[in-house]
Amino acid sequence: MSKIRLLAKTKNGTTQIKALIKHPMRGTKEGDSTPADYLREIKCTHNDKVVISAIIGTGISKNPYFSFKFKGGSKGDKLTLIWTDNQGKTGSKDTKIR
Amino acid sequence: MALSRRTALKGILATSGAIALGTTVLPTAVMADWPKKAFEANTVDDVIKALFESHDIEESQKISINAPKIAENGAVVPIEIKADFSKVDSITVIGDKNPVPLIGQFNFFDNAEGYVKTRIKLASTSNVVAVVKADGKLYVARSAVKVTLGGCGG
Repeated sequence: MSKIRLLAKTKNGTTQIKALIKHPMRGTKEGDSTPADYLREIKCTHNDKVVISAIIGTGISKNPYFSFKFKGGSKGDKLTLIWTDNQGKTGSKDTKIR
Repeated sequence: MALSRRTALKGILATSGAIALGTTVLPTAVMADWPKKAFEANTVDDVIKALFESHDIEESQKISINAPKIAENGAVVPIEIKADFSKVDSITVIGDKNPVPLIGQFNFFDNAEGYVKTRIKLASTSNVVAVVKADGKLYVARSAVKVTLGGCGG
C-alpha cells in the first residue's frame, strides 16, 4: 500500500494542498518485463466535494509530489486525496485543514 | 456419442471470445476517464487533438511556467504552472520530446485556482508545454529546459 503525506493550510482565504505519494511511477521499458505500475488518477475533495482531479501518466516523477490551491476552506474542514493506479488499485488519505 | 469437430471448435471459439471480451472490457470499466489515446499520441498537436474538441489555440502571457533552465536530473524536474484567468478549467502539461509526451491534465472545479506544482520526467532537452483551458478557449505557453541526464529510466 502506498503511503500518502497530505497537508492543507489556509492563509488569507486561500487553502494550499501539498501531497506526497509513495509510488514507483514505473512505465514499461524495452527488454524489461517488469509490469508498468503508475498512478492514473488523483482527486482532491474538500468536505467530500471534488475541487481538483487529475489524469496522469508515467511522465510524473517517482514518489509524486503535487501542490494545488483553492479559494475558501476553513480550519478543521475535511480534505481527502484519492488515487487510482493502472492496475486498478486505489488509495486515499484524509486530513484536516490547518 | 460423437463430439464432431465442428461443435468442438464452436465451443472453443465461444469461450475464447468470452475471455477476450472480459480482458478488454474490465480495464476500461475501471478506468473510465483515463484517455488512453491522448497518452499514446506522439506529438504535442496530437495530444491536444485527443484531449480537446477545439484546436484553436492562442499563445498567452497569462500563463507562467516556473521550471529550471537547466535540469541536472531529467527524472525529477520541479515545475510550477500558474494560469491567470478568471475561470481556469484545466492545465495540461506536455513534454514535447518525451516518449509519452502527455504528462498530465489537471482539472479545476469550484473555487480551485489555475495552479499546479509537481515534479516531472523529461527524457531530454525539451520544452515544457502548458495548455490551459479557460473561458472556453485554449491557451498555450512553453518553457525550454536543458536536461543534462535523461529521465526516462523509470
